[in-house]
Formats: sequence, C-alpha cells, structure tokens
Amino acid sequence: MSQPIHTLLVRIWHRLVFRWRRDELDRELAEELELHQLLKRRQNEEAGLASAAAVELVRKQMGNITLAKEESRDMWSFMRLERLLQDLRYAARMFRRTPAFTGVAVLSLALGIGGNAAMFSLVNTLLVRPLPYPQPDRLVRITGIFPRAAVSDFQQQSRAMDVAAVSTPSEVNLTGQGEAIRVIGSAASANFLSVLGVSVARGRSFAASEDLPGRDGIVVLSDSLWKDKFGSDPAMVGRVITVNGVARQVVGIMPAGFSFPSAKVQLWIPMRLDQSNFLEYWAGEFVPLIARLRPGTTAQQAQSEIQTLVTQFRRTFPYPMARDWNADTTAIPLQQDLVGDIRGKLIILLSSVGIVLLIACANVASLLLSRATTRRKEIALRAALGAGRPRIVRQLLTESVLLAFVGGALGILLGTTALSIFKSLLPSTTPGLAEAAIDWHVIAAVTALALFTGLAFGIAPAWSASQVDLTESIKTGSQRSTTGVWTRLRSWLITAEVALTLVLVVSAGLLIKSLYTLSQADPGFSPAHILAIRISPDQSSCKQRSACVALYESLLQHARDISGITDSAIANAVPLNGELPMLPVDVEGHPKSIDHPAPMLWAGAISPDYLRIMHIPLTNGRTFTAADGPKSDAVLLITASTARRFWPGENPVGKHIKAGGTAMENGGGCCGRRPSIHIKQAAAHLGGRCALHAVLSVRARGRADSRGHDFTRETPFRFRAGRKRTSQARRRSGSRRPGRPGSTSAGSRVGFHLGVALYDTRLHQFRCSRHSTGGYWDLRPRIVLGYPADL
Amino acid sequence: MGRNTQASDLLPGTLDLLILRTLVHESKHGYGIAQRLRQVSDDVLQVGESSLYPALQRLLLNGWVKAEWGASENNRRARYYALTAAGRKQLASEREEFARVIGAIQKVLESA
Repeated sequence: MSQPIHTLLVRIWHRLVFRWRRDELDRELAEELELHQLLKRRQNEEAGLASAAAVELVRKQMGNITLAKEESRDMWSFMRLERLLQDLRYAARMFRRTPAFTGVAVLSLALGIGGNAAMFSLVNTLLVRPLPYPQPDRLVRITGIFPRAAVSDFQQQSRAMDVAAVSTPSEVNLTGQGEAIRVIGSAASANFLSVLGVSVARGRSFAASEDLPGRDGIVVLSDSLWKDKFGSDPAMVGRVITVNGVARQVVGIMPAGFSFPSAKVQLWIPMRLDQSNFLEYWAGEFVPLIARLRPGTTAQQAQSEIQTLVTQFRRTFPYPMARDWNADTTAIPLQQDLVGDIRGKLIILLSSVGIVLLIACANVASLLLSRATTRRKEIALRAALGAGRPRIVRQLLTESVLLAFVGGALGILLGTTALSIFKSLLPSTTPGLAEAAIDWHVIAAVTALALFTGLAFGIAPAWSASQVDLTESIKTGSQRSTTGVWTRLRSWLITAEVALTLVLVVSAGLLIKSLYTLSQADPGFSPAHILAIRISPDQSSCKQRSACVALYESLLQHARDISGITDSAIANAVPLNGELPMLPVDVEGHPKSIDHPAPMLWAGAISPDYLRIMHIPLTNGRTFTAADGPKSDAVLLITASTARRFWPGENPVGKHIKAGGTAMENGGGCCGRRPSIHIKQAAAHLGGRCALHAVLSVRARGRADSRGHDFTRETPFRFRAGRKRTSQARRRSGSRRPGRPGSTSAGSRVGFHLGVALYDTRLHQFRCSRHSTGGYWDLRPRIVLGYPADL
Repeated sequence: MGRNTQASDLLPGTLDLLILRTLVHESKHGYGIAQRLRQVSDDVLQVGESSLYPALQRLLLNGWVKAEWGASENNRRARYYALTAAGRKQLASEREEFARVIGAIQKVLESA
C-alpha cells in the first residue's frame, strides 16, 4: 500500500501529540469499550437472552480486549524507538555488570575497527579521491626520463598531448630575504601550470617563452613558503630572491595546498631549454614528463603516438643511442604514477586490518556464544513472560550492536593514532598523504562498519540464545543445554580465529625477520660514530674550481679542530642514500655500439680519508693519496661489482675507464674527465652538479649528535667572509620534515652561505635501506684499486 | 488468539476501507460502525471489537478520521468518528484499488 508523504507526516505529528495525551487516551478508549459492551449487552437482552448469558456472549464476541488496548497504545507513541531505548538501557546495565567481558570485547572491536578506519582514510585519500586538477583523468605521465631536448621536441611534435616537464624535486638555497634557508624546488617547463590546469593565486604563471635562456630569471612560490618565509607579504610578487645564487624575480604565488610533483615542493623555476648549452640540453639531468590529453584524443592514441615520438627523438640525438632506448615508454594515468607502488602496500595493509577485524568479530562472537549459554535462564524467563522469539533476538542484537558502536567510538580514537603510524610508513612525498585524516567520511564508514560487525558477530549468538527449551531451562536452571550446532559453531569460530591469527603472526614474523636480516647485513662500511653533515654551497661560490676545493679543504680542517671530532672526510653522498649521479662510461675492452651502449655507473666523489673513516676495506690496489695531487684526475677506484662486471677473473688494476662520454668532456663541467666509480673528491669539479651537495662525514668521540651540533653552530662563523649573507643550520635527524624555526641556530651569518644540515648516518641508512634495490647493492663500496686511468 | 475474527480474514486493508465507507454519510461511534457493517452485510461481516478499535486508532493516527465526543442514544458519552478530507480521498483511491484487485480475482476464478 503506497503511503503518501503527507500521511506519514500526519502520523508522526499525531504520534507526538498522542504521546503526550497517552493516559487520557487510555481512559477514553476504556470508556469507549465499556459503552460498546453495554450497548451490546442490551441488544442481546432485547433478543431475549438472560442477563448472565448476555454478559457471557458479549465476552465471547468481544475477543481479546487487552490485545486491542495494547495495539492501540502502540499507536500513541514511538513504540519501536522506546523499546530500542529500553533495550539499550538494559544492555548497558548488563555490560556494566560484566566489565571483563565488556572490556575484552570492546577492545578487540576497537582494534579491528580502528585499523580499518585508518586504512579507509588512507585508501580514500590516496586511491579513490581524484587528483585536485580539472579533468584529472586526462593527465598522464610519460614513463621513462628524457633529456631537456625531448621536452621541446615532444611539445612541437605531439598532436595528441600537451607535454610539460617538471624535474625531480631537489634542495635549493634560498637567500636574499632574511636568513638563508634550504627549500625544495623543481624546475618546470613554462607550460606546466596550464597542463595541470592550475592557476596562480597571485601574480602570474610562467609565460610561453620563459624557458628560454635570458628570460628565465623568475620563480613561482608555493603558498606555504610565501606564508612561512615571507609572512604572506602581498608585495612579494615582483621582488627578487636568490635561488642557488641566481637572482630571480617572484612572478607568482600558488594557491594553498598546491604542490607538484611531490607534497614538499615549495618553489618552481623555469626549466631552461637552451639548445646552445649542449651539455644541459642533451645530457645533463634527465627529467620526467607529464602531459594532458588534448580534447578528442584517447589514451590509446596518445600511447601509440609516444612510440613514434620516442623513435623519432632518438634519431635526433647528436650521438648514437641504443636502439632500445626508452623503447618501453608509454603513458600511464598521472594518479597511478604519483601513487606509485603505494597501491600494493595499501592493499597489504588493508588485508591485514581486514583480518584483524575478522579475528575481532570471531573473538566477540565466541565470547557472546558462551555468554548466551550462561544467560539461558534469563532468556527462558523472558520467553515465559511472553516475549516472542523475534523480540528476544532483537534484544540480543541491540546488545551486540551497542558493543560494536562503543568499540567503533574507541576505534576512531585508535584510528587517529594508527593513521599517523601508517602515514609515517609511507613515503612522505606521496601526494595527498598529508590530507589523510579521520573526517566525516571515515566516521560514516566506521558507523556503517560497526553496525555491520555488530550484526555479523551478534546474529549467531542471538539466534542460539533464543532457541531455549522453556520448561527444561527454568526447571533445572541448567546452563549447559546448548544444542550441538551452536557448540560446533563456537569451535569453528575459534578455529577460524586461530587460523587467521596464525596468518598475521607468520607475516609479521616474516617482516621482522627481513628487518633483522637487513639490520645484520654488512653494508660494507661502519656507520658507528659517524656523523654526516650535508653542505650545499652556491653555484656562485663554486664557479672556480680552486675556490671550491679550498672551501672544502678548509671545512675539513675546521671539522678536525672541533674537540671530540677525530677525523673528517667529504663525499658527494653518504652510502646507500641513492643520491649519487649516474654517468655513462667508456670501459677499456668494451667498445660501444648501437646494441651495446655505454654502461651507466654511479659516480661517487670522495676525499682520501673517506674510505678509512667509513671503514671501507680496500681489496686490491691502493686508495687515493695526497701524492696524487693535481694528477688525481687520472685516478679512480672501482667497486668489486664493477670489477666483476667488466673484468671477471682478471686483475682490474691498471685498466682504463672514461667517464662522462664526449659530451661531458666538451661541457667541461660536471665531473669533467674523471673516469669513475669513485673519484677523488678534490678533483671533482665542485661547482658542477655532482659535487654541489657534498656530505661531510666526521668521526666523533662520545655522543655524535652533540658534536654535530657544535660543528653546525660554529662553522658558519668561521666562514664569515665579509658578505652579509645568512645561513641557517638545521638538524636532519630522524624525521625528514623541514626544519622547524625553533631548531635553527639563528643569527649566524656567513659569506659562503652554507646550508648545513646534519643527520645521523645510521638513521639515514635505516630509512633508505627500504629503497635499496639491486642497483644499490652494486654500490657496496668494496674498493678494489686505485689507478692512473687517462684513456 | 482473539485476533481470529472474520475481519482479519479479509484482504489486508479491507477493514479500514469498510470503516471509512460506513462513515461517508454520517459520523458514528464504534458500536454503530460494527452494527452498520453487520446489517449491511446481512450478518456476514462480524467485526470484533479487538479489531475494530485498533483500526479506528490507526485511522485517527493517519488523519483519515477525526473523533469527537457526543451524547449517545442512552445518554452516555460516546466517541463519534467522522471522515476527514484526507479520509475521503483515501477511501476513493482504496475503492479503486479494491475494485481492481477484486476484478482480477474474478477473472482468475472465471478462467477456464
């Protein structure tokens, strides 16, 4: 029967009114029924029946008057609601009486629901929520990395896509306004904001030709940088700041919340596309490409076009490239690229919290089943007093749902904690990770989950409890007369619970074992008592090699002067952090051809003491010495794996390797002719990219941390050189969060504005070991030999 | 149980429909409604009070009838029920529906 909304509203209104007048209505109904009885009796008497018989007949004809009254009474109030409240009150009383049972049940549910709340929040934010750009499904990432030349080439050739490039974020020194700080920046092609579909909040975006040399002295700031560093000064647009020693005019400020490609990027400079700079244009840093599909093109069209683009582009290289160079390039959804391998991790986490919830459900269900046995008498009594079976089931289900809701509420509290743990497990660069929070979406999901689990674990115990044999239970007070089915169900539940727990315990054990193995693995060096201090001098201060070498020499000397520091060395990266540059090399006896392109090797630059300080053993030959002097350009060390790769079974000492290829030589810049795997640091051109960020490793006595503090506090003063520039030191222990204002040693002014940061190698190693791949372990610095190697 | 009167053997909702119909021309009290139904149906429809009064409460709740106290034939206070506008509308639509269902049942019964 269809009931119009109007009738429904009338009913609710009437119930509200009747609820107030219940007693009056009750009296009126009684009066009405009494009159009815009277009229009926009179009629029967008129029909000739004796008075007593008439009364009897009336009673028969009337039927069950009590039931009629009850039914009417139900209509005068929100009976269901009132019964529910009554049930809830009763359930709460029951739970208070058995605190141990309640505690265990609520806690296991809270753990299950809490974990799921946190995971739901993560999955919702990272996998479900689309990227915050218009038409996010049209954005793609072109896989592989390409030289800058490819950016202009693809932009001109592509019919299906608008191509942009945003470089991998890196640390840059920001000066020119107050204290020098180190921020994360990216170089981006001029069109990157229009490809993403985002506009600036203030000022303007990069103009079309501003990636050309001479016009690229501009920068766009993130909202967070603008707020934190420049105090939301509206006059910032148009001002000049110095980024890595280059003066750049601020042209725009991004809206709050925008960051690309990772959540930490704070400024963007134009990616210079300068054909005349051969090295930078063709060889230098390779960049990732993104693109927006043009209207009317499909992802398939774009993918097939990319094949053509890459093939054509490969032929335009000024030197031959391998035939399979970037041959597997394709276009994948940008979101998929940004989320990366997190999908897998999330699914593993999601399954484990799912299993935890299942265990919790099974646990509570078996607890409730055994409780149902002890409550048989109470339930039998209720049944005897007229409670129907559905009524009893409803009462028991109310209890279990109440339990689930209490567990859910506690679960939300636990979920916030779990969420912060999960967040710290995922790479902090994950887009949107910071926004994952317990919001109303999650609360709604948790409520639904609690209701569902409450019903799921409650239905079997409730049904079993309602199956009481009345007389038997009341007579004997027996609490053991459970039927076989329910006993069996209970043992199944416990079996399932143990099985699921075993799955979790085994996987947790495996994880712990890999962690233990990792911690026991010989990294090839000894990180104990080693501090690593990260140094980024400006390009300007390292333009001349001699000045740069002198800077690092004096830094080393200064470090040794600090009491408690026994030794110091410089390298372009600490072991295992993956920040080493990769160089193509020419290897003696391994001629290059189109099918055998130049092998790529990681290039480390180290000072002579580095191997000794890091306890890296030399297996063959010799290490660098001061005696190499100016000729050190011609010497290099290779790792055991490199030796095995190129000269298996041979003595590699005395072989020749040329690093960087022709292009590098011509550029004369970065790492110049240093044939390499490990290059003597002083020989590496420090003004170039590879050694711009150097790591000063010092071996300290006592608490390494405090020595590092001494160093970073004192160093900037020692290096004062007249120019009024400031620097800031910040500690980089454990967390990778940007330094908070409080942790800076303020007021230090130096000429070489050293963005000095320090971190404990041990911590760092631990963090990075998660990323370690085959390529990494190749790096195990078992140095084989030192060798004159000018090919 | 007392609910097993003839009224509850009817199609669901039919009792409500019948009550509404008896009130079309004049307001009646409970006993009057039961009498009327019995008379009109030649004693076929005997509505027990245990069905009648809850049904009347339901109609009140839905706003299809309204009730007023008045003097009855034997000088006692009686509650008289009268159709409201919503009740009239409901009656019309229910009659239609009822006719449709009955017609359908007829067809099934008469089919070969």
